[in-house]
Amino acid sequence: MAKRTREHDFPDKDTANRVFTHNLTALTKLALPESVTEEMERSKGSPLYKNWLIAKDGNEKARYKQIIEEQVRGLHQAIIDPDHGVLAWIRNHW
Amino acid sequence: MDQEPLVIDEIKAASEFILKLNEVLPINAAFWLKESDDGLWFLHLASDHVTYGNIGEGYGKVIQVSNDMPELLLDLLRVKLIPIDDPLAQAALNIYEHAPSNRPTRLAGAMFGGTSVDGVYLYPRSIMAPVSSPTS
Repeated sequence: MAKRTREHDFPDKDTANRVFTHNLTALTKLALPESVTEEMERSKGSPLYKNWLIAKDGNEKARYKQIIEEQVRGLHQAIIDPDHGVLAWIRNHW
Repeated sequence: MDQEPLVIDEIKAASEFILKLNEVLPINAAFWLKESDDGLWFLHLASDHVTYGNIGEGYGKVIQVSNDMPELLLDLLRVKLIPIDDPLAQAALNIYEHAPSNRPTRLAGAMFGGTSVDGVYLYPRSIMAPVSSPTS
């Protein structure tokens, strides 16, 4: 989102409101061009897409909750997997 | 945060999806939920066959069924699988115990499973699979 904002831009109020979230699904739709999100939709069935479904369940409010270890490990792996992880994919579309 | 409405098309699409998914992954409770400080509605699917250890496998079935329904207008990034012992799932099951089985339940501006929500749309129990394992 920062990359798409230029100096002296006057931000669109609706977008500015929506971007203040930790919700990965919302951020993805706001930050990425439609062509990229459509490409992701077309990749249904791939390990990457499954990792997206897992990673999007991450919730910043969980820091106040007791979480079982396997939940954290699954989320972590979906993000950092070097071949099909969400972080690697995001870096490719930075 | 903007207020995105839950539309009838999404409710209907998810209903069809739940019925189909039930054939490969029993769903015991299903509801759209919008948290108070979030702009999006998410379809929560609670299953006694899902744990945090096998949730990837569960999402694999979600993808498989979605691929079998190419006309389905349901964004899978809005679908959350949760184990049956999740507090949100338990709150839904608690309502199922008291609500008529063939009608949906709507809640607005309430606490639901310990979470502050703007709204919940709970699908009727009649389209759910029965819980087969003991809940904790």
